[in-house]
Amino acid sequence: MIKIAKIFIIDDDIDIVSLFEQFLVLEGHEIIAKAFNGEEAIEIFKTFQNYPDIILMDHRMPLKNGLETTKEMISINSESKIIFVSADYTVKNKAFEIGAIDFLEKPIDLSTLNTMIEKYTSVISNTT
Amino acid sequence: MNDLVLLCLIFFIFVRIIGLGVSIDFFYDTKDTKFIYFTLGWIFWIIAAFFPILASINENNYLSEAFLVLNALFAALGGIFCMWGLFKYFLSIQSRLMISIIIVSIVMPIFLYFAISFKISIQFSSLVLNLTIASTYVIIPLKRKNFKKDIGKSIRWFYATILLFFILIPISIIISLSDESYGLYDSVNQLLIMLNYVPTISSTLLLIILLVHLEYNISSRQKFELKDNFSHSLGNIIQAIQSSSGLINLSASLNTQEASNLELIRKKCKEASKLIKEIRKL
Repeated sequence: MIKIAKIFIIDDDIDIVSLFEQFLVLEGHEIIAKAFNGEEAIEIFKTFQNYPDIILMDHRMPLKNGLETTKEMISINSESKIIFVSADYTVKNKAFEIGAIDFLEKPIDLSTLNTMIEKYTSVISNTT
Repeated sequence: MNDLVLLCLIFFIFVRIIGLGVSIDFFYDTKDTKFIYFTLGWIFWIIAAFFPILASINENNYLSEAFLVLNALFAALGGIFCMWGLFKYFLSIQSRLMISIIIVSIVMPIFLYFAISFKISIQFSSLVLNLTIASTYVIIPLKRKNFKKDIGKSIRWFYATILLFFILIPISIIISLSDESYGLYDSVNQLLIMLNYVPTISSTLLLIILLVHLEYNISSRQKFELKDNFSHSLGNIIQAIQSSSGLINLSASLNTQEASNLELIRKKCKEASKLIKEIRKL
């Protein structure tokens, strides 16, 4: 029995998005969307009919940063589970204040990322 | 000239020389044009303090009056240049406007001296000096967005400088009502001399402290931003290396040597992560 999450990855570093995607797919999760800046993320978020289980959010991004993006997403869907994955350690407290559920400080082990996603995922699959 | 006034003027020159040294030093360090304005301002202020001494040792009445006119004129120019420098910390100001003010503050006192009287000329220069300083201290906090955030801890020195400057306004009114001569150069009233010179010298000292504090704040902020940017970019680079090696480890069947090499990458990434954390603590 494994936990499978529908994940939305937001990071301006294309390489990191690609690597996280490859890893999370290998772990059985589903990447439902990717965005490379805050504004693009909001646009995509507004189009969701079923919201993602987990949102992986970078902070330092062009157009709109992670904190601003998080605020908007939570105002659209207050149930959003947003995990900050950022090298910007200075925003950790602020991220929690505005509603992020956890904060991972880059660089992180991929296994840590998976553990964190499973911690906040309630959907369980009986895949063998 | 009263010995106490002479002592105050010498002390004034000494303090302004310190200000000049600080400004020149900052200019060589930063190559920022605002320190050229500060340097010019201190030079004018130093020269200004010599004129009353020259006026007092000179026996020619006309020449003495001319020295006092020059004292007020140079003091006004010193004020304009120093305030221009201070202004540039927070707001941009048109050079054309400043050059116009400088031309007016040079031409008008000379014109008033020859056309009306030396007293009117001195009053005009004093007015220019006080208006320049007052408007700088008022405009900067009003016009600069996020002034409190940008000035940081230097704000207490900024307010202290303003406070001392505004304390001088009632003192100036008392002096002008007491029928004393300009600058109290011929006064024997020691209390009035102290009341006039102590806040003036103190506000000049505070201006130097403010300057040093502002520069310290700016360089600290720049260091913090550099540290923040470096650790952030390094964090992302290490993240990509660590994730790539992690993926290879998951997806490939590796021989012992390859697995050992991957383990080495993983180990070095962990060391780099620790180094980044150390950099962040700096």
